[in-house]
Amino acid sequence: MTERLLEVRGLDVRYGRLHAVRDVSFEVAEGEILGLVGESGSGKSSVARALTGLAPRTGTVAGLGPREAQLVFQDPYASLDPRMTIARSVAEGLPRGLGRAARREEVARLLDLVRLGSETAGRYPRELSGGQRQRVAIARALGARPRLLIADEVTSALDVSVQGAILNLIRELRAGLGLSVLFVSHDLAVVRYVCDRIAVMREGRIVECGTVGQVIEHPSHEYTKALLEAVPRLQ
Amino acid sequence: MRRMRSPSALAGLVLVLATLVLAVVGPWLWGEEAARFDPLHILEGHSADHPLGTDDGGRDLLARTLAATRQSVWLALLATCVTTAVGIPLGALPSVLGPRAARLVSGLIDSLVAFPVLLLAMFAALIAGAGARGAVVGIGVAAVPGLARLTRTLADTVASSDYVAAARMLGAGRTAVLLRHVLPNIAEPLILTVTANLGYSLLGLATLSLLGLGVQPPDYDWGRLLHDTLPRVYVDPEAVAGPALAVAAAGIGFALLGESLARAAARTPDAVPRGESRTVLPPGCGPLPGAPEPVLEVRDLSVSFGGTTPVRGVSFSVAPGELVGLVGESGSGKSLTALAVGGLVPYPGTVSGRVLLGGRPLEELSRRELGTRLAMVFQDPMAALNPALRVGSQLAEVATVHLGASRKEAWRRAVDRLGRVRIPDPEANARRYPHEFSGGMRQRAVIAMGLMGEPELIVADEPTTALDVTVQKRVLELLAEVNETTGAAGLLISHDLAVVSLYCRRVLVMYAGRIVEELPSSQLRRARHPYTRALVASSPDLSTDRSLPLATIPGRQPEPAEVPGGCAFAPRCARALERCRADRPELEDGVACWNPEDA
Amino acid sequence: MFLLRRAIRFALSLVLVVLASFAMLHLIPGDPVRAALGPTAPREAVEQRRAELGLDRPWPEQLKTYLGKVATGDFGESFLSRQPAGQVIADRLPATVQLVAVTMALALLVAVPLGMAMAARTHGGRGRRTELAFTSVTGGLSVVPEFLLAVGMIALFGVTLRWLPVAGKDGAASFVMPVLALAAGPAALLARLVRVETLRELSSDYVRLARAKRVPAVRLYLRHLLPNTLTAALTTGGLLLSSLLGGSVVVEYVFQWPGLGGTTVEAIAGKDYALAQAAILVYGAISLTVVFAVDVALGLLDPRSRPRMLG
Repeated sequence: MTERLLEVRGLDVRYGRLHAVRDVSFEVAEGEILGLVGESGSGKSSVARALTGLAPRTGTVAGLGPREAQLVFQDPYASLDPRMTIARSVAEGLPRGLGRAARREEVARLLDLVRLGSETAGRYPRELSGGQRQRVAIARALGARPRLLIADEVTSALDVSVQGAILNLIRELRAGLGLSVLFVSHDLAVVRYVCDRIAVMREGRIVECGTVGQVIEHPSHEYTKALLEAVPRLQ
Repeated sequence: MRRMRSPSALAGLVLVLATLVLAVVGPWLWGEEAARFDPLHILEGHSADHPLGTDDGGRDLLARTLAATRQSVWLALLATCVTTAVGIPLGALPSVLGPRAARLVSGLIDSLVAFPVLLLAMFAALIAGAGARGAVVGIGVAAVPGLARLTRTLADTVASSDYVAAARMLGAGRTAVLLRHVLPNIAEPLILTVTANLGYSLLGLATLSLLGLGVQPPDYDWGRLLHDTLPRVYVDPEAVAGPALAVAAAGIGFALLGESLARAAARTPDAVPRGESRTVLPPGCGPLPGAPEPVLEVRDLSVSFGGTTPVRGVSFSVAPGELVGLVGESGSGKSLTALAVGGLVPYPGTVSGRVLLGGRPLEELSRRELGTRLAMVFQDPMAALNPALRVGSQLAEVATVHLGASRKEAWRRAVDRLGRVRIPDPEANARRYPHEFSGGMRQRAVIAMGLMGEPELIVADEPTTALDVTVQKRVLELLAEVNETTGAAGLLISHDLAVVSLYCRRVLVMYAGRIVEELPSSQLRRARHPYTRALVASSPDLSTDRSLPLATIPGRQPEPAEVPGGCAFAPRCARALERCRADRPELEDGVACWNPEDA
Repeated sequence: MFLLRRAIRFALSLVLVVLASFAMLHLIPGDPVRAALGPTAPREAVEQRRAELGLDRPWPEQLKTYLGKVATGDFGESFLSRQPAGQVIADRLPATVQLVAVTMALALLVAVPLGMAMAARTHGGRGRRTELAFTSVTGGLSVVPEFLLAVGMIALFGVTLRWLPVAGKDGAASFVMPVLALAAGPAALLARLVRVETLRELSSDYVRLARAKRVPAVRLYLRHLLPNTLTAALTTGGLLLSSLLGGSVVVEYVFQWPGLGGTTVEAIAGKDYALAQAAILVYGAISLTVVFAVDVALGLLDPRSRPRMLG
């Protein structure tokens, strides 16, 4: 196995009285895509937010410096400031003290990385489609040179024909940049397609974790079996 | 600027401009006359020399009114400066403080808002001392809580957005977020509110002066003039009219201008067309001749909104006991088709073509028949039940309104139907409110509502999109079961091919407002229309080959306004021919394509 | 839980009002007693009055005495008339309460049906002209200050047409103009609010489902929409009701209504600080109570904030 990037031990997230995540432990290796799957209220998004400091957490999270984990949000219509050009949005993640020319070059490189033309840079979010906006959000996250990209339901607001392109992009980024990804989704079919390993969450806990082959082909936990059984399959 | 077209904004602008001009030139032109004593003509009414009469010093009231413009506007401006300088920072403070201090400040703002503005102003003016300075401080301070609360609410909305979360994650501090994201996004509504505030300050200052708590002689503003002339309202109303109209015009001008621009900026929620409209059928559309075999018969259905036509010539039928799937991506027109079938197309949409239920056109059916024979299930179970009414009474309503049942009978029926959709302990649950139900239970309750009558057609529009997979399965199974046991025709609308293929034997595929293919669900993998093929290929399932990239469809579905001539899919289609771009293919043998794939 | 939080905020705000009314005397620049008695009053008289009022003692002690007095309903005595302030307020308050209560009732009775009817007429972008007329008229009314309406009405109905009494409180006819002057603004604002909230509800799924059930229009509006619109509109509109109280001061002054408003204005203008202090305390407490009452009523109306009865 390749080197371990992130180690999470005994992660707990509480919002007031709501105990969203209970004693969750897992690790992510360099260049690995770990899927975090569960139904609404399972705590999977809270894990994603806690790892990026957007939710209060206790427990140990080892291996990542500040800003080394970046989150891409579910709703591409809400995650970009409507008053900023795409270039300014993407540049938000760049390290400070970069010259103007260097910034412009870097933005162009990032947009190219997510397969958007450089003419996108001067546009505003409202001029782009949902799939394009999601690419911009990914480019912005990549600007911070993260070692872990956290994708929180990134395709659930998109149509099927657009979803495929984003999933392909995430796999390409892993292959090209050696990026590790924590892929959070409620869709088992999507998770199976994108990920190397899968952790199944229910009511704030991880109930099963293993390689895609193990979890999908030979699930051991009853809940995983129920989930798999409920996934509609094309006849 | 398009926003200026609203008449109230325009009226406001004219009044504001006139006031500002008067404020500049007033004292120069009439200042001298306004101060000229004339002991021979005191307290006179209307005359040729003094249209509004004179005051107790014989001074001309018209001149005084005009000359007072500058003082009145100037004080209002000062008061607004006080409000702005304190209110906006106070409202923005919670955004930069830690959570606990932020809550404290917010609580303080909320408590202060509860006090009437005028009382706050009187309190502040009392402390600052009666006079112009006290009035300015009083009116200025009194408007602070309102402005602070608006600032905080606006800032909160922006601060809780995903893009601010992203910025924080990228290392931006609270102050940077405030300057870079929050302020630019709230600046516009705030500026407009401050404009409106200028008007309210003007009116407030006039009120204080009227009460004798504002400007003191020998200075005068409009309010002071009112204070002095008010006792004469019974004798010379025109003496009061001058300053009264001046205050009204100026104050209302600023307030109208600011408020109407702010509303235009916030975009009123009623801009989204939704609601009900009558189905307009072309003349001569009687019942179909022959046996009315299909329960639902849709012929050449189109739905238009103004110049655009999101549903264009859709035809299909559904037999009793059959569940037909209608599949498409967002914007394909599938939900509008469902609404048209239910006779619920929102205003100002117009419907053409025929929708026949049991052989009779929809608009010939009575309210009672439609209410009992047609059942609809919508996407979001959280929003589909009225939050203020008990679940049971929402069901029972169908029976009392349409079937003439007594309340008791109707309630019994409601409990029975809740039991039929397997809601546990239906007696107790009927008495609960929707928020006490889970998403799956609510969707069951909606289905049970459809069962209150004798449904012949059940239209379910994305009934499980908002639900978890395990719940989705049970709700869909229930829907299929209801469909089978009642013998009703069913139309299941979904974006999910797999869902439709599981529960429907027949599938209709929609693209850009038209049905492009109609096929048995078992044939989906061998679909003949390139769009259906591509859709199947791009949906990953539990057996997708992970070593290959997922299939994608280049480009995007055209908006209703930009649908090209010919086949709407041609620009994205690998198999498109010359002909596809010129001629529109009709649905023949289940597929609308000039160059279909082999089955 | 909800009620408790509201009650705590109510109590805290009340404390705030009491403290503010106490602080008032101390925040006034210069010597309030000297200001009240005038520059010509002999020094001994001022000193004596200060001692009577306890103003010569340290302020924590004064605060303690003040709190004790307020708790027992003793508001001190008027600087000018030397009547007990509590007595003055008790004499004047009923007229104010009557005026305000009638106005609130009228504003609600007009605004809610009007707002809903306008929403029904104009939703989905239909009835553009009706919408324009409604928003223009209510927009205008909501910014016209009470005193202008009052003066205009006096000139028209009182002086020119002589239909209504111009001042004082004497029978039902004397209520007409003050109530109308006071109600116009809040009623217009509330009607706008009700319309916007009704429009929002009209586009919700539960209304669509009710339409699919073919519920008659009257039932749709009264049974399905009214509770939801009312809670939504009053959540933001409750404050309007308490703002009436401020307007009542002006209206009372213009119409020489024998209420607390005129007394308060005279007290402030005449530097009768003890009476002003008591009046501000009473006004503050009443406005807080109104807001609290609206909050509680909303909490009870909305099933979502009620505690769960089962499970």
